[in-house]
Amino acid sequence: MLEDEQNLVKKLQDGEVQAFDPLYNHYLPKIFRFVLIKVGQREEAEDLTHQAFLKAWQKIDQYEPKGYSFGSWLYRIARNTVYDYYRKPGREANKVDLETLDQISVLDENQELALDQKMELAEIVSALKKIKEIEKETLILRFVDDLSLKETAQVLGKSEGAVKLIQYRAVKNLKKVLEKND
Amino acid sequence: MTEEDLIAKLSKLRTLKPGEGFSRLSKNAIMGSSRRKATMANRWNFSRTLNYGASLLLASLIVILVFGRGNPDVLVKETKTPATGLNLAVVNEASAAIKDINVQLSQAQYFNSEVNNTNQALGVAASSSEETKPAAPKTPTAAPAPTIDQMLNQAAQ
Repeated sequence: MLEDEQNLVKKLQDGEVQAFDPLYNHYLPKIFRFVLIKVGQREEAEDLTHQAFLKAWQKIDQYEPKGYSFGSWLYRIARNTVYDYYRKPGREANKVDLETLDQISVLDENQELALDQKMELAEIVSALKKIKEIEKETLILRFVDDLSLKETAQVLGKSEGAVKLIQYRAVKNLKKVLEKND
Repeated sequence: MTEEDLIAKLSKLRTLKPGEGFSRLSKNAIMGSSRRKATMANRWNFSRTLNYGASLLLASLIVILVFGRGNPDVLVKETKTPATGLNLAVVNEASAAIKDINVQLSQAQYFNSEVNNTNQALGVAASSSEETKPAAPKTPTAAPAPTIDQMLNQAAQ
C-alpha cells in the first residue's frame, strides 16, 4: 500500500488532479502485470490496464475507504475489465506463447533480459495457464504483487479462509505442473 | 521443488513492466479525460442552476395562481361546481342583478299600491259624480196617469 494513500485519494476526490500522479505511478506496474499474466498479450494488456485506470478515475467519487483499500478497489476494477473483455464473442484468454514473451520482455525498456530469463518466465507463465483462473489470480496477487491475505480476499470477493485454501491448492497444482514439465 | 522455490520463481514475474511510452500516453489520456469530465461537470452545474431557476419560477407561478385570487375557499367552491360552467364573476353579477330586481320589484310594488290607493280614491270620486250627474231625458213611451192633484185642478177649471 502506498504511503499516505488515503490522503491522496481524498485529494483526488476533492478535485486535486495532481494527486492522481503518485497513485498511478505506484499501481500501474502491478495492475499491468496482473492483467498481462491473465490475458497474455501485450497490446491487450495495455488497453485493458488503461481502461481500468480510466474507470477508476471516472468513478473515484464512488470509492469509500470502508475497510477496503484503494489498491484492492483498483484490482477489482481491473479484474472486472478483463472479464468484461472476454465476455465478448471471439476472444480467448491465455494466449501466451514465446513470441508474446519476447514482446513482454521488450516492455521493460531499462532492463535487457537474457534468453534463459525469458525461458524461465515462459515456463512459469505457461505453467500458470494450466491451473484454474482463481488459483492463478491468487498466486499473482499474493506472490507477484505482494498483496496481503486480507487485500487478496477483498479483490477476489472471498473470505480470508477461502483464499488460504485456494492458495494452498494453487501452490500444490502449480508445483505439480512445473515438476511434470521438468 | 519446495514452496519457497515456487514463490521465488513466481516473484521473477515482477520483471514484467509496462513500457515508458505506454505509461506516459495512458496517464496523459486519463488526465485529458478528467479535464473533459470537469468541463462536463461545470456544464452540468450550469444546467442545474438553470433547472433551479425554472423550478423557482414555476413554484412562484403556482403560488400566485393559488393564493393570488384571494380566499382559497372560493377556488374550492369554484372547482367543486365545474359542471355548471358558471364563472364566479358571472354568479356574482347575477346575484347583484337579482338584488337590483328585488329592490326594483319592491319599489314597483310600493308604487303599485300607491297607484291603487289613488285609483281607489279616484274611483270613489267618480262614482259620486256619477250620482250627481243629471239623468238623461227619458223618452216618453206612454202618458203617465194624472195624479189626484192634477185631476182636482182640471175639475176646478
